[in-house]
Amino acid sequence: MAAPESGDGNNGAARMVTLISSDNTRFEVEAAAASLSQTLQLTILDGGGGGGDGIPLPNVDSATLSKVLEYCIKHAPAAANGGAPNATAVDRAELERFDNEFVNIDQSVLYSLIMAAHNLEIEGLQSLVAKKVADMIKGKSPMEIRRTLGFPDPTPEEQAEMNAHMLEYGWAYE
Amino acid sequence: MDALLEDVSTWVPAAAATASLSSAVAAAAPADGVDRISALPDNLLRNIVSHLPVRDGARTAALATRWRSLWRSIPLVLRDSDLLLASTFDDEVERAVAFAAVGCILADHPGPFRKVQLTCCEFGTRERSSRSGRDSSPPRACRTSSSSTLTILPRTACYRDSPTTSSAALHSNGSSSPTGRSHSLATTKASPSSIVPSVKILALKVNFSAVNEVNMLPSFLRCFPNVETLHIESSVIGGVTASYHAMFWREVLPVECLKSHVKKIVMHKFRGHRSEFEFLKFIANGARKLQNLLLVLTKEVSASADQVAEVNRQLAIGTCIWTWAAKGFEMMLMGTTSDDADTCSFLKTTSLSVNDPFM
Repeated sequence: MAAPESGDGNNGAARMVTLISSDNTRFEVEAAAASLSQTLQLTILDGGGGGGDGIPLPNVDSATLSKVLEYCIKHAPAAANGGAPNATAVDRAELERFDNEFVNIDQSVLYSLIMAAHNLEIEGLQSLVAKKVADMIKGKSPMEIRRTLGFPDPTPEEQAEMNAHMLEYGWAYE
Repeated sequence: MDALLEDVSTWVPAAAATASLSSAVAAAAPADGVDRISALPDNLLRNIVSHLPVRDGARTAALATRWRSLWRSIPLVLRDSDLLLASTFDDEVERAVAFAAVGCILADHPGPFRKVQLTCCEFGTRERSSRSGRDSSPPRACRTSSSSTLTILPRTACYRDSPTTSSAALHSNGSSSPTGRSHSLATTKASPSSIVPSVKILALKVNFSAVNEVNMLPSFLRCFPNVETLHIESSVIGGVTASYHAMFWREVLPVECLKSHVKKIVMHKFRGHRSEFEFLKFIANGARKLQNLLLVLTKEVSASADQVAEVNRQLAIGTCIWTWAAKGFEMMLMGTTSDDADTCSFLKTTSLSVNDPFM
């Protein structure tokens, strides 16, 4: 994913922009893909990120950024179609398959993605990762959720609070 | 354009500076079994919780002190179908349990209610089902002023069981029955505990041939004094003499939401039946703020030029003799090519981005 700076981004048909991660890795991607980020969109529209400049993203590390861009590149064509009203069922199924596979990742990566999607304002990715965490929580008891999310064992106070909640919100445990 | 450029250049670094969390989370990259989700700010945790069905969402409040208030701070999206497993969808006991839960949820969540969609609970079984034993007061959320949407599509069966179905839907908060089993609906008043002032958009299905449904309609509307947009999906199954309707609507006392708030009424699956026209006449005389009336014809009627002409003729007569109260009032007749699109697209009603999910 990490592409060395080429400097001749305007050569091909599609305009390219360069994004620079917090650990100074440069990523060259099509402007259309990077524009899935509302945060980057205006800068790119104004001609930023081309040539040797690059857009620094000091709050996204290279591992996370490469994952984010993987998502953007895959989703850019559909987004360019305005939400792809004329996309075929096959295209949609393919995107869905990609999304499912895409979030099949370590929790640490997942949370970095949540932050990055939030900071870069990539709507589709935000809801995709939030849904993934929701799926990890769904259908579990509070204790199971705590274990899934890696919470330490509850203190006696927390345990008492949990029991109180189960009594108070009985309907949530039926 | 220059101003825009300046705007962006000042804004991008600022946004970057405020959010150094992601790299912190990633850099730490701890081994499994470590709580990483807690590094996320509250708004992102809320976003996660908002993707959960109502029971799962509420359960997260038990996780830890920080999670305690999250579910209650997110506008409630309640679909009673979420309370039922697909396998138990037709199980009467399960449905009764789910219905009991609806009351508890409305009482436990402080609001606002983003969507409340009750489509499968049997309101007629309320007496048998209130086994939760909670003596809950009317939900506080019902008193909130923010806008929300309420969808109530009770099964036809429950009309048979209980003539006060629509009203009973509101009894689900566990308060005592206000309008009770009264049939003298022209005089029935909605009691405070059954009033939901927060609802701005209301959608309901009414069979204009069923006496008890028509009887219930004014009382039901009285429970929503602030509704601005009213969607009615009409059906005409079976027959009642039109004279009954004319008489009934003449005697109905003014309905608050129609009198002072309703700006737009959409009648879906309009057939031009006389019972529907009697209702329109009632609206014409009572809805003082009404700006738009949209009549969407059924597929069958739209397909027949004769029937469309007949509906048009009736409307023309109606608009001459009825007194439409508001200035600038507009009426529109629309045809459809498909009846498949249900008034209430369930997907749409739960989307937080749609202003009026029933259009």
